[in-house]
Amino acid sequence: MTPTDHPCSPGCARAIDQMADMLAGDAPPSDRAAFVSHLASCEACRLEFESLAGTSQAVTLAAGSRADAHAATSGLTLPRLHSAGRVERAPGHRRVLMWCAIAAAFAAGFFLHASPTVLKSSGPSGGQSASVIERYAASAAASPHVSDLERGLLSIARH
Amino acid sequence: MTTSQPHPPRSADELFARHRGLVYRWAHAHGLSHEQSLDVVQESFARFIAAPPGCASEGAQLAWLRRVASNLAADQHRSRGREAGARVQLPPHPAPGEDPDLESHRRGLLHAMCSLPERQRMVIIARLVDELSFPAIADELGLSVPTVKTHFVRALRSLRNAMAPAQETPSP
Repeated sequence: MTPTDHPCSPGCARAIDQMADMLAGDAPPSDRAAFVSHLASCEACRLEFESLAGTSQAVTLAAGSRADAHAATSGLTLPRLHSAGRVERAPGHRRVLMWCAIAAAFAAGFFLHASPTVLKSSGPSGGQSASVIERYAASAAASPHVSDLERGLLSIARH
Repeated sequence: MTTSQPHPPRSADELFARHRGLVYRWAHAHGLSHEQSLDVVQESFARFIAAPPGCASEGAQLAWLRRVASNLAADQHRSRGREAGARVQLPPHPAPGEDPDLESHRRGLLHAMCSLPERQRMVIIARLVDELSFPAIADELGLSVPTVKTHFVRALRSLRNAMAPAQETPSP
């Protein structure tokens, strides 16, 4: 039975109002005396108060003591928590990967531009590639800017 | 602990050093196990570091942490419950033979706390674990003192009613 379903007297109504303060131990001494006096004469309010006090104590017990909590968390460190936030550093990693991809694209573009014949020689249109290689080799032989490495690659491609 | 004298906000390091045990107790008050409570502590502070709340005082920072920790505890219980078919993991203590009543209290507490509305959970934790006064809780939550008292008593009744079947059922 709870105070909401037992015959309510003015004393019960006041006791219900004081229940929170009494459970919290915040009631002034005069109110406490009146409350205790009412509980002595009203079993429903007494049972209600005792059950709520028991529930309150269960929560407090479950929380444990400050000393136990301090000991239980002594192994935790904030750096470990920092490392848990690796997700926050992920955009940085993505930026590095993006620059790597851009650099690789530039390198590939440069390679394709500098020696297109080497790649084209392995393509399906072998006849056209051969003529391109011949033309490129002829122009390369006349050019003073073609390196020995390129000349070597061209000779490999011609044969 | 009261908030009558507001302290300036603290760094994450200071908060962690001073209040990690308190966050652990918040989680434990929900009936979580030691490991689950440690997870809640870590995740709460990780979130604090990742997105620090713009709090004007240490009390406000604690209120933020309390809400995050309580919601994490409730979420963890719900997800574990879904995974394990509502089979809950009890806290490691009391030790076997120490106090079986307390164990059944905890079993019921885990379900009961997590089924409370967030505001009632905040009031219960702030009052019973942090030992804040009703006016301090009212100030923190932006409620009137009588409303906080009503939340407190209603929450206790809900907890009692939810824990009652667990207390009557013999533990396996």
